[in-house]
Amino acid sequence: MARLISLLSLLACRSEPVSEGIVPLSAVDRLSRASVLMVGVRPSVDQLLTANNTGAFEDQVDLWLQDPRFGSAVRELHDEAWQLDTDFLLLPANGPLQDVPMTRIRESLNTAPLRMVQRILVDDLPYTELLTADWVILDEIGARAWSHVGGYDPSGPRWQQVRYTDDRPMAGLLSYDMIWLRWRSAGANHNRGRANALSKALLCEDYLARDVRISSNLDLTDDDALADALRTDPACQACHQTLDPLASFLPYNPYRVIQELEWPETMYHPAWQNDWLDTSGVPPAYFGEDLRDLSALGQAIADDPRFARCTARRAAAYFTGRDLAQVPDAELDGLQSAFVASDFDYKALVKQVVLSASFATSTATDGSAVDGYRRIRPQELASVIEDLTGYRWQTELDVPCCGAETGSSRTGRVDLMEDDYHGYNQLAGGFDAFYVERHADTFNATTVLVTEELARRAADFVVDRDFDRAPENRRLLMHVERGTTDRVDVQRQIAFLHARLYGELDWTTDHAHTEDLFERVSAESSAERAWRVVLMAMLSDIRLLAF
Amino acid sequence: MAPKRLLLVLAYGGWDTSFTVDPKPDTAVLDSPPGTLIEVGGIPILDHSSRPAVRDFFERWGDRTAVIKGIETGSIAHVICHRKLATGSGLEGGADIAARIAESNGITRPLPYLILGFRGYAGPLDSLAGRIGTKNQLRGLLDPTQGYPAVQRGTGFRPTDTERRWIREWQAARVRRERALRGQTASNAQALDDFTSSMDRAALLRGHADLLGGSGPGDSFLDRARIALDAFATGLSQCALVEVGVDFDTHRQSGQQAALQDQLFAGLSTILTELDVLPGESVGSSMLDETVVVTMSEMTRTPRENSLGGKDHWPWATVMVHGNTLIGGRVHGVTDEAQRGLAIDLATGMQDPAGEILSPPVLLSTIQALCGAEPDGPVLESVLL
Repeated sequence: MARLISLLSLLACRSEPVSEGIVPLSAVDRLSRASVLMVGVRPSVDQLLTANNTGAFEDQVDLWLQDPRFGSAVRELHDEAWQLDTDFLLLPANGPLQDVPMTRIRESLNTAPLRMVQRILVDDLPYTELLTADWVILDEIGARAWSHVGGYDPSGPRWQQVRYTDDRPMAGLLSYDMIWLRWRSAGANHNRGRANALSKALLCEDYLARDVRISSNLDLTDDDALADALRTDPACQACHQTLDPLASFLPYNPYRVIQELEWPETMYHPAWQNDWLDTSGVPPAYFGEDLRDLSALGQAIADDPRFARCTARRAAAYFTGRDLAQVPDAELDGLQSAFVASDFDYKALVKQVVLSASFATSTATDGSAVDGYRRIRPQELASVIEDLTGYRWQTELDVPCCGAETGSSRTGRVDLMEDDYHGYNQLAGGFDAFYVERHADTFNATTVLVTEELARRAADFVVDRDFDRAPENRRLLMHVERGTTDRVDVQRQIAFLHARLYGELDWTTDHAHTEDLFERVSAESSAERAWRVVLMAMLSDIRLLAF
Repeated sequence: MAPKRLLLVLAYGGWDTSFTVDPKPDTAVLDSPPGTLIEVGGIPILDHSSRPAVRDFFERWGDRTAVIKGIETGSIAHVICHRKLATGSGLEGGADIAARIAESNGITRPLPYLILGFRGYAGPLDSLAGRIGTKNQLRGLLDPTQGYPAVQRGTGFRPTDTERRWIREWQAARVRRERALRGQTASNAQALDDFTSSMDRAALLRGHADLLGGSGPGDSFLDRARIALDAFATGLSQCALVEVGVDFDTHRQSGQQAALQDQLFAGLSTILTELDVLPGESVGSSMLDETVVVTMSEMTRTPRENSLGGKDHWPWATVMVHGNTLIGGRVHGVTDEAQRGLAIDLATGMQDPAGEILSPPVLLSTIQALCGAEPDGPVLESVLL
């Protein structure tokens, strides 16, 4: 064990500041941060032992970019933009979806657009395909739910590339029925809310964030006065001059009452293409450019420099834990130009962000306003815990979902760290893509309660399972047996746990504290119980929750 | 006197105040619902048999209720209007008034700001807030026997109180080490402070494990309100947001507002009654004496009905405040025939062309003052006792 500790000590080293005042993460900590953010797991001890090798980090990032688990991060990033994966659209189960568990319906329909992004990355397509593709990704539930879907093979893989058969203008993500069911447009809104959702997601331009004062003399119930104001009043024109023409592109059913959905549903119809003639009266245009249809819009957005910049901004914000507005222009300029020059290689963009100094910032010693922590998100924590212990906090609910009177089915398997309706995602600080649109800024009592409860369950689970297996098949407790109290063996186990969970390769006073905790509990009860207590503490530690 | 609590009641969707507290029955520019203009408890309301709870409320509570109207929201988007009214700004990431009062008045509580609904904004004060969850999931966390059965199970291990204390000591030592390594920046230090304080609060919250179990899942307005009252009574929280949970966004059939507001005012009356029965922290005081109750909706509705018989969004808000630090039994602020806010003198609350139109920041500063907290800006002085 002493040899292991001394070997690990040699390999862990603190980096010197790369710019005055800013202290970067150590190689080990940077690797750990990237591992959690990109593939949702802590790095293995083998990966940690090579963290300081020249080029090791970049090589590992390249591997993670090809890892199927990277898709989860990509979906989450895009869900922040589009606010799609919500548990609060209580979709009915009827027709071809009868008896399908509600959680399955939600996952199939909500995440399908996000899986399109994932497919673009897997197939190494230009990111602009997001707006120009003539295909979409659906699973069997999606293929049944939406009308005019062709090409789905029930005997094939779950998620498949399919095409609509209704001759709708195709524009990648913008062609998805589910997006326009999630973003409905009621009454006199005339698709403006949808247009803003599109603008916010793809251009980082949120019309609702503009501080515009509505004239107190304007009678909003006078359609003629309103239409005139939208065309002539500068306060109204500030938004509507570009918002209304954008809204006129969208050929989708404006508003479906969720409880009245009857699958298969039809969201697109060519008749809605010219709805603007009767609603806003404003022909489709993209920031002054007349375009024929949604397909042309998709291409126009793909060609718009703001799209590349927004894509870069979102990637930088997500992986460095900053708000969109906090990413500095100088940093964005470099990311945007490289992204465009690479022919919109999204993996290259992410790589550039992850290899950047911003990503590796730990702290500052010169009073700089540096935010060096990235707080773990609920689904990331669930993934990390599952990888470490094999435990996933789920429940199976047979009750009909959500109080629906008709067209309801049993709720099904609920992932309690990802779900908001029954689960703890919101309480753990997550966003729910409907009411809570952003992650919590920091910790609070309920996030601690959730993480401690998850840690308790996972600790109990892994101790129980590990001691029933041969050491080579265990996840965490491979250096001790149920009743082991031998100090050398216990220290070896603790050294491994600190390395595995935190990337802490030095033996420090923290290891001694852990040993002390083990001994206290062991003396009061048993060594086996002591590992449960130790792991409960370690799985809810600050270093796991913020990095 | 104990620091004031704040109960924030949110009637989301845009209540039509022409039905109740901003009546305009005899104007050519506004489609008024049926009713009779009366004054109850010093406050003019539109009385009608379809909403008796409104009159009942003001008869019982009008003398300690202030109506503040004519607040300009400058938007007709629900989310933006609500953000402005609750936080003072339409931008994301701000802290609403309940979070701010929680910080100023109740930072030592286990859960200073309890959110019983979806639309609480704690922003940078997230460490003080806690959501209860759609199905009162918080109860399941405090008492795992109330939670959902897990698919994967261990042995049912639960740490003893002593073991929890040891875990806590171990975690605290870890935070100290982390602070020495990375806590040099204000942001990093704040994150560690928030983690530490959150652990402390979680530990205190465990002491209230049976609190939330007795008040049901929180499916109705009164269910949620009673959880808030329980939280106040046991010292768990200083502030609570309670959403009414019915949709006031009546773009079709304005008449629906009658039943919705009847439900709202009936609920409010019950809440104030129950608060009045609960003892306060100070001798001789009731919980109601120590609480400011603010009822808000993010907008009101257009003066005219649309083609569907409903009303659309109108960028003006009216708020009701109940407490014993305010001048009740009157209306503060002025609206015209179309319910647009007019410029007023903040000192008197009366119309003054040389004055200013009420804004959300002034409203929020006023609520701060009513709660005994230092206001962030100018206040509507006419409300203050």
